[in-house]
Amino acid sequence: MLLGGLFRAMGGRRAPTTVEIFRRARRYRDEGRFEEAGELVARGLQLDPSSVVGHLLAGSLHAALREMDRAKAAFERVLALDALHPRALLGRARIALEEGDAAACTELLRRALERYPDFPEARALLEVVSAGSRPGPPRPLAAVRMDRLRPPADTRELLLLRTDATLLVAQPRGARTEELAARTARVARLASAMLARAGLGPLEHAAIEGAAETTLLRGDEDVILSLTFGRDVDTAAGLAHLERVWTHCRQELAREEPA
Amino acid sequence: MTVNGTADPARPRGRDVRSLLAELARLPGVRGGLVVAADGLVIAAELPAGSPVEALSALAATLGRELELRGPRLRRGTFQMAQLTGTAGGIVLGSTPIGFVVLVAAADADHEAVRQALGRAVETVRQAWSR
Repeated sequence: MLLGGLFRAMGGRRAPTTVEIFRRARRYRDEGRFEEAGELVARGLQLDPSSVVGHLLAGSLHAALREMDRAKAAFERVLALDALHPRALLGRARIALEEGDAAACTELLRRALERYPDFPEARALLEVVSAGSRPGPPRPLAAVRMDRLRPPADTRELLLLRTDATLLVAQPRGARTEELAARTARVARLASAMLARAGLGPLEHAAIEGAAETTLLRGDEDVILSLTFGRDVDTAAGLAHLERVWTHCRQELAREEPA
Repeated sequence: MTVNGTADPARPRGRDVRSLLAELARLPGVRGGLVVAADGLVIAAELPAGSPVEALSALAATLGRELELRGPRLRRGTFQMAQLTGTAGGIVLGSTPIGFVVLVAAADADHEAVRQALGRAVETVRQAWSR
């Protein structure tokens, strides 16, 4: 149907070329009309299966629709045709980061920047990923005592971690706590980077609202504290709790530091 | 880069994200904003000239995805909105089916009013794009 519309737009004189199909698809994508764009890209790739433009658009659209496995396959098809395609490298790098593979992400971004040193998206992400791979300050890992942190009774979860994602304290602690710590560290780094890029100074705190829970974050150059409450927590009260527990954390960490 | 939105009367309000963003960017204390797809593509931008649009869009999309993945996989509920507070202002980021809406606000903005306005806009976009 979409192709028929494009055919009519051409005056019905001839079938649209793949260039015209992909151009229209790109326009739909830029308007957020991802499904319509995807239909055109699929048709274009039937006509020209080795089109770098087509596979790149497909990767972009799958990523926009959160279909990351299909996006990854499309970006890899682009890279099989052009090993240094910067947009495909960036797309693939972002998926590697989502998968928790910081080393692969770094390598892909470096390759993109080798070809295009002036690539702000890749540079911004590389800064965040590089910051995460630097080890935290050497501190003893002796257990921080939860009872001294005194989180409020309605805290559903408490995480205290180093900025390199090393877990210091978690309550409760389960099979996915390490993954959550890694994601929390990445969220804090990305949030800090966004604020810095926007000229808004370092991160003071973050409030993350989900359908079921609200998570409050606080951090500095050494550690990150995350407290999760029910969805209906009063944010101002939650932030007051966060500040209080943060003070206790800093006191505990100071106590743990070697003389 | 500044991309000014113009209203398209033929489209449902939530489908015209450029106009929606232009309205949000006019809130007191709001410096501007972005609508960015989950792949990092900028769909609409209303930021002062000289703003690092590309870097912000890449970071916003990556942060938005990280927050989304933190949700369902870890049984924390679907991510809806995040408020980032810096020493000189704040950023609010909301999740929609077409990507993320980002607003950049000065320190003296009414951040609760900005958060609520973004929440309403996100809901409008969700309804328009989930049909």
